[in-house]
Amino acid sequence: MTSVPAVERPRVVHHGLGRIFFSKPIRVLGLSIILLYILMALLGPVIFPPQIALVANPAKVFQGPTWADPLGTDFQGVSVLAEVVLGARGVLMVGIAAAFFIVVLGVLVGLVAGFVGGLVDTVLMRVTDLFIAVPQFPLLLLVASILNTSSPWMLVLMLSLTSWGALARSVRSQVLSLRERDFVEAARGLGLGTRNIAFKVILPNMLSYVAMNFMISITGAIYAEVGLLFLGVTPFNPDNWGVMLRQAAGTSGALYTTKSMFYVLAPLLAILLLQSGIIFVLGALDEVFNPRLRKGGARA
Amino acid sequence: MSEVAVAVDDLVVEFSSDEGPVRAVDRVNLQLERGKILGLIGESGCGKTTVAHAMLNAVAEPGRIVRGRIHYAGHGDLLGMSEEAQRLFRWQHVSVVFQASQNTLNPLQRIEAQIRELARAHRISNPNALVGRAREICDRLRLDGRRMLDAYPHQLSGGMRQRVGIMLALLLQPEIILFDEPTTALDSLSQESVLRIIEEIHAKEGISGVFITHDLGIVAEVADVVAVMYAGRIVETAPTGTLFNAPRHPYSRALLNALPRLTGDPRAAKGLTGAPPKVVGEVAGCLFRERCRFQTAQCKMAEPVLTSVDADHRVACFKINEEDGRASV
Ligand SMILES: Nc1ncnc2c1ncn2[C@@H]1O[C@H](COP(=O)(O)OP(=O)(O)OP(=O)(O)O)[C@@H](O)[C@H]1O
Ligand SMILES: [Mg+2]
Repeated sequence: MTSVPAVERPRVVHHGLGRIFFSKPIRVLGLSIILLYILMALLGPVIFPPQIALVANPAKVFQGPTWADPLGTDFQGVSVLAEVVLGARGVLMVGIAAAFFIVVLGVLVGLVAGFVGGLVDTVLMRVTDLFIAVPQFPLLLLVASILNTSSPWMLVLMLSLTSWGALARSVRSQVLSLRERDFVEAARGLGLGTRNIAFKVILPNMLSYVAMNFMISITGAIYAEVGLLFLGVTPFNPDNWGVMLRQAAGTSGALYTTKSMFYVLAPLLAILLLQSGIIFVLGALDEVFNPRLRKGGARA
Repeated sequence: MSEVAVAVDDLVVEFSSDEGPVRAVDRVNLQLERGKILGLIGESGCGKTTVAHAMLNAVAEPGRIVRGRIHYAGHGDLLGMSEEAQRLFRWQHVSVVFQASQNTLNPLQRIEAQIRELARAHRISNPNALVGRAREICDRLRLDGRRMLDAYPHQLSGGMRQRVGIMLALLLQPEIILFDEPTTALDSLSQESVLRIIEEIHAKEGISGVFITHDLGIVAEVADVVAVMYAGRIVETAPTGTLFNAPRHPYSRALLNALPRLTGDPRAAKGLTGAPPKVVGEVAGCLFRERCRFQTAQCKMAEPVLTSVDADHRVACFKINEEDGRASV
C-alpha cells in the first residue's frame, strides 16, 4: 500500500447463505412456507395424535369451519386440518425421495454420456429415450392397479423411473457445452484427472441447474402421487391429500354444498402453497451455486 | 551442443470437421534446448496453440494427435506414457500459460481453492507451502497475493487473471513452460513485469520455454531461437538474430516486413495480402505459393521441406538461392 504503490488488489466480497435468502422478501416467504411443511411432516403426529385426531365422529360430519376445526370436518367428522397436517409427511417423503432418485439417476447418466461420449453416449441416450417415451400416468395407473400396493416405495420407484430421462438429456447437453469452455479444457493441461474434471469441475458448474430440477421434481412427484390417489388406484388412506380430494369431490357431495368447501380446497391449497414456496426460493439457488450472481454485500 | 529438453518429432494434429479432417499441425519438428527460449511465430490460425497443447497431449476435442513423438529429456515420449503418468507429468514438468488464460480459471472456486485442488491432483504433501508460494509469485507479478488468492475469478480484471494464469504455470516449478501469448491482455507496465519474471526464472532456474506471441518486438527480446509457422508447418527456424537480420523464407520476410518501423520508408512496411489456406486432406505443392511473389512451376509440383542453409538455420523454400534475404517482398 505504501511501499509498493503499483500492486493491484481485487475487490473481494464475501456472501453468506443468509444474505442470499434474506435479501428478498419473496425468498423469506418461500423459505418460511417450506419450513412450515417440514415442521408439519416432522411434528404432525405430535400436534394431532392420529389415534385421537383421525377417529370418526358421526356427530360432526361435514361441519363448516369452527374454532375447534378451522377447516371444517369431513364425511367421518374428522378435522380437515388434522388430515392435511398428518398427510404432509407421506406426501413430502414420496416427493423428496422420488426427486432424489430422479436427480441422481438423471445427473449420473447425463454426465457420463456427455463426458465419455462415443458408444457409451449413444447407448445411454437410446435407453434414456426409451424411458422418456413411456407415458408416465398410464404406466403408473397400470402398475398401481395390478400390484394394488399401498407401499410408498413402489410409488417412489415408479415416479423416479418415469421421470429421470428428461433430466438426463438436458444434463448431457449442459455437459457438452461446458466441455467447450476454456477452464474445462485447461483442466486437462493442469493434470487434473478425468473423474476430477467430471465431478469437481463440470458437475459443480451445473449444480444450480440440478438443484432447481430437484425442487421442481418434488412438486412434480407430489402432483403425480396425489393424482394417482385421487383416481383411487391405491388403497384407502384417510389422511392422504389425494384420497381426501377423492372423498371430497366424489363421495361427499362437497362440490354441491358450500358448507364443506374447505374439505375440497384444503388438500388442493396444501399442494399449491408448497409449490409456491418452492418457486419462491428457486431464484436463490442460482446465487447459492454461482458466486458470480451474488450481488451486494460487504467488502472483506 | 547443449542438451535438448524436449523434442517434437513429426507431429501431426487433425481436427475433425464436416469437410473432413483439418490438418492444424503437419509434420512439425521442434527442438527446445535446455535453458533456452524458443519463439513460435506465425499468423493467426497457423497452429501455434495446437502445437503447445499437443506438447502436453491435451489437444481439445475434436482435435487428435495423429502421429508424432513428444520426447522429454529424462522421461521419454509423453505419448507413450500411461494415462496416469501423463496426467502427473503435465504441470509438474511442463506447464502452459494458456492463450485464453483469462477464462481458464474455474468460475466457482476461489483461486486458493483451485491451488489446493492442483496440490491434491499432484499429490503434493504440503499444500499450505504451495499456497504460500503462490502468494509470493503473485507479489512478484505486482499482484496483492493474499487478496488475489481470496478472490473468485470474476472479481479479477482480465489482466489480473492472466497473471494468475502465469502464477499457476510457475507454481509447480516445471522445467518447461509454454507461454501462449502471455502478455496480450496486459498494459505495458504489467507486460514488463511479466517479461522480467520470465527472464528471471529463465536465468535463475534454467527453465526452458516456448514463447508464442504476435509481438515480434518481444520475441526479439526474449527468444534465443525462433520458429516460423505457416499453415501448420514450420517454414523457417533460426537463431533470433539471424532470423531478424536475414530471414530467408518469403513468408518470414513478409512477416518481419509487416512490422511497423520507427525509421525508414513507411511503404516498406507492407504486409501480406490474402489469408493462409485451410488444409483439408492431402495437398500438393507449397502452401504459401498463392501469396508468394517468387512462385514458379516447381512450387506447384512439390512441397519444399526444411533444409539447412546454415548452421542452425533451416528453411522450407525452393527459391532461397535465387532471391537472397535482402530482396524486398
Ligand atoms: N476446435 C477446433 N475445431 C476445428 N478446427 C480447429 C479447432 N481448434 C483449432 N482449429 C484449427 O486449427 C488451426 C490452428 O489453430 P490454433 O489455435 O493452433 O492457431 P494459432 O496459431 O494459435 O492462432 P492464434 O494466433 O489466433 O492463436 C486453425 O486453423 C483452426 O482452424
Ligand atoms: Mg493461439
